[in-house]
Amino acid sequence: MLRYAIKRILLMIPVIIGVSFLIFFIMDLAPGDIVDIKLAEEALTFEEIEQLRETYGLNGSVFTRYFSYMVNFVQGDLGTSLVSGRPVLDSYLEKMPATIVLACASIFVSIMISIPLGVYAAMKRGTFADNASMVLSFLGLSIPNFWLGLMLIIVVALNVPGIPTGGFSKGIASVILPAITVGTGLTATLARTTRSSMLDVLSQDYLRTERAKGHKEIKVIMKYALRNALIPIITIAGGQFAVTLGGAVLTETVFSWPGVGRLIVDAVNSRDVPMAVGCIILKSITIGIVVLIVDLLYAVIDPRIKAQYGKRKRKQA
Amino acid sequence: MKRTVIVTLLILLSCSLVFATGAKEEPGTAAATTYKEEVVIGVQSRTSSTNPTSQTSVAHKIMFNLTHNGFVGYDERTKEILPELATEWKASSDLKTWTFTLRDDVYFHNGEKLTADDVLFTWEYGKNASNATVKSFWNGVESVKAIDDYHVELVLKAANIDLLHLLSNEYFAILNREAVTADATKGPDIGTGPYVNKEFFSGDYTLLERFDRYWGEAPVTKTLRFRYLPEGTARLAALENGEIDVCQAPNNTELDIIKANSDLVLNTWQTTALTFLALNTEDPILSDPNLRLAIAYAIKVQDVIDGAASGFAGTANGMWGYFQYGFFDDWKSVGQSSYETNLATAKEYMAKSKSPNGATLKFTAASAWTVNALQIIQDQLKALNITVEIEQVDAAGLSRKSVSGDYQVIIYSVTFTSAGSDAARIFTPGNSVNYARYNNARVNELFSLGASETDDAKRKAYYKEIQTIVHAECPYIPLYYANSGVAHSKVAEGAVYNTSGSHDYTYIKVAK
Repeated sequence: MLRYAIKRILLMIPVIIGVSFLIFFIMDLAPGDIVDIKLAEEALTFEEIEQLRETYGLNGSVFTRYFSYMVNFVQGDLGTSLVSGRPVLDSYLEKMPATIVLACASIFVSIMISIPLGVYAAMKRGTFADNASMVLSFLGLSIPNFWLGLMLIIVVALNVPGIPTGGFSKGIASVILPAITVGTGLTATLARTTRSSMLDVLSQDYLRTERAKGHKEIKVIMKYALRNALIPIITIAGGQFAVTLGGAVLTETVFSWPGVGRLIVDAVNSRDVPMAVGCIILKSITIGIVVLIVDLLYAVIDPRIKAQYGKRKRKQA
Repeated sequence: MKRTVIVTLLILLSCSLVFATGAKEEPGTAAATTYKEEVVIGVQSRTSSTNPTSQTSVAHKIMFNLTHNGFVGYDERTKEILPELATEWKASSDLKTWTFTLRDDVYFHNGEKLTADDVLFTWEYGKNASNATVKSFWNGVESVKAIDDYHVELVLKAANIDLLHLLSNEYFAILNREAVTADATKGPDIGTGPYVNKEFFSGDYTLLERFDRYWGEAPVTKTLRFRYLPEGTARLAALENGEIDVCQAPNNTELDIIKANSDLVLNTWQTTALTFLALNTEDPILSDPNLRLAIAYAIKVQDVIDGAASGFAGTANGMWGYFQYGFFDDWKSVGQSSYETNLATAKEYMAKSKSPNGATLKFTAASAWTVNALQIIQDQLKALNITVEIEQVDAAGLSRKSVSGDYQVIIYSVTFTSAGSDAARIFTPGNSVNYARYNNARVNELFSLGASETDDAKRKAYYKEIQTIVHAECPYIPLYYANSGVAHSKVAEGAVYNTSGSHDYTYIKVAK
């Protein structure tokens, strides 16, 4: 398993190179650069514009700039923001706690609602309850985050004392509405996955055996059925968690949540190439690590997968 | 008996003293209003730096006004230059040498006393500032000489009658040599203003704390927190919820909610940001002034305001700020007329133009609301048989196009300062904001004359002539000044809301 983990970590290197290359070139293709953004605020002479481009190192070819960026990156330097003048890593790490809190809270909300809902829908397959829960999940999938966030602010924050409209300074109360906003979309997907995964498992013979042994239905469902249905659920939940760790831009904007999503969007809009490329590399690494953890979790949940890892190890020996 | 009388008298005396004291205190207690220690202001725009020499946007200027001071300030209401760190100033007859007398009771936030050496240092530092406007200004200063601790002399490379207006901008604040030398990153945050930078979390909030050794009148509020709330509806909800005390720039569509709430106060005004069309005078088709004038007379600006700004804007009657020194719009007195919709006049100009049968033009915009404006104009110009193709790019793309000249017509906004010479940047060649790529030798000469003219009447005459020439040649079509506003809790007072958006929160206080 350790070898597998190391192999997966090493596979991140080409991913980082690919992602950084793509972002660097796409940003170069986009019209305008940081100097053009400054021109919207400052009146400059054409000589000053050229000087500024020289200062920011924008006059070389995109290949030279990319190579120079990667040389620094290998040495652990993700660069400095062209807007704030701060190191990219500092800015990213400053925003990360808020992002982690939001990602954890929203996945918690999502799991708490979607798994019981999906299991219940599967158990009541074809009934009104099944249809109703799936309509609900469709609804969750269809509601735009931006709209839901604003509605929650207007309906909940303005009427329930102690629930703030945004920000990250009022502890748990601050995270309730953003977590519900992000979690609603995730809940819908996860509930549908849980339902379909449970339907596959519920038709298996071993469950009939467990029931024949006289186990209570709740035990059969929770201990034998759900555990076997968990792999696709964890795959989806892990993927969603990883994506949320990359930032939920719209929710962050509505709730003025100081997360990495807005940091990246602001960097792209202001053509802050070191900030955008640096943050996206860090985001890729984060997603890669979360996906790896999810893969390793399979072994914990499913003994057959753990046995496969063991088999490979024995073969190699 | 005697004893009883004495005791009774003593009791009466004590009672009268108690009640008298109580009666004296009570009105005082009732009258004394207590104020919140922290006032929270919800802002729309993000700030990215606390260094005054690094940013020039309005959002940053609001902060720098609280943490730093320059030689002078500017009162937008009275249009007067006010003394700040300088108590007196004197210019030489050629307007190149300026001598300032500094206050002798000013301390920086690190406890250092302000001296002329700090001005000298600010000049040295400013010449290499990251912001091009700041860098360009300080590089235009030939030398700075500290005559003594409290007298300093600035020698400019070129005469500038508007130097004081320029210096009133917060980004020309005086920095402290010791602070910046000790810490190049955080040193520039140290100023002489009424508030000290306490915490700065870009994209979330800025916390300022009252500076107890401030040279001016001490503010009442202990801390000011600026919360970044980019979404308008959420920002207003935060005000309604009591999380913030001031909501900057509420959505125009939500003003009725504020008016209906008796706990809130709404202030609105016409801003100083002028939205206009720039017609590329170097373009083969648009180099024809008759065609440009035809377009100007065919546009119904009120329809554009209604469609693109939800009716919340005032019509602009010239490419010179209505609040700016030398503003002129009495077109009839010079045999001209304002660009009010007049299709007959538009058609006359069209007939005289090199494209009498119509033209196809590309109009470029960078935001959804400017695209809305262009769609309305597109429809209006059909009357002249002008086909408008609309191209949308983002802000950086629009700037790139304007610098390269790769456009025909662009829609843009610019905020002028109060100085007349500020208009030179949109009318003279070599400037990035001369979006029309306009170049008229007489206009260039008049700006040059204006910058070194001390006679008020003569200077106004120069500026009037510039506006007359530009109006006749129509490189720009002025559209409107958008409205903006601030909503605040009814117990908030003391802030000064300026039409430029550069508000002064120094003396804001909110009753508990």
